[in-house]
Amino acid sequence: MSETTVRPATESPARPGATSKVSIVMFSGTADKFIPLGVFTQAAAALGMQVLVFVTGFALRGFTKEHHDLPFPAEFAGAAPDLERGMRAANVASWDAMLRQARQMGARVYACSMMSEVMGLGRGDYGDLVDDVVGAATFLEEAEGGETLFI
Amino acid sequence: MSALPAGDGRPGDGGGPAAVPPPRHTVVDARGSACPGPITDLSLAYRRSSVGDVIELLATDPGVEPDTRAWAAKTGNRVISVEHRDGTIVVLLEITRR
Repeated sequence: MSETTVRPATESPARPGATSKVSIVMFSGTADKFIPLGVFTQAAAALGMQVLVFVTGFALRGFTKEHHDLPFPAEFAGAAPDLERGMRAANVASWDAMLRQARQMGARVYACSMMSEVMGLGRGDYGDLVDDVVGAATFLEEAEGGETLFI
Repeated sequence: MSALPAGDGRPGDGGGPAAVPPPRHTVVDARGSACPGPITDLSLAYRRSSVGDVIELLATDPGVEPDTRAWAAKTGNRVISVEHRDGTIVVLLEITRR
């Protein structure tokens, strides 16, 4: 372990104790992008931030009761086994375990109503990670004034 | 993760019902846990803490020092010290805000 030098926290622009929020649009359905979804959701919840995830597009396949093996993007498929080995070696939690932890700390997850209908998915088709099925307006209204990430 | 009270915890008697309980020193062992595990373990311990308590976070994730400082800045708490001991990063935090 090497020594690291970091700037003192007093230089941080963060306002101590300020309530802030981060909202994430989870659009990609590939396995690699579910890793940052889990990490940022859990980290934001740990910082005491209000966290909201809006799942749409092929990402919805990761949230159904029916299991779907999430594919890696074709250009990285060859490197996927090494990545998975590295993740195990570094003891990185699975994306869904991270999201579950974040939800226990207050994060909420919405599934997109329009894409759910397009994909033939009803509320009962989603597993325990989904809090509600809502439209874009609900998400945008709740996300207003905070940081928004698109994955 | 484990969060065990170390040193002397709150005494069960003495001081009467109006007395402010003495500060606790809680050790949070997040060694072997990857980001964002340590900061999550810290946050969970923080939720059970009171102002004046000290949390000692043990971790091996290389991002722990800057992340803990960011957590403290964000939540309004104080990093007392950061030490690197035989591959373990030991962060002492004082809970100054709940």
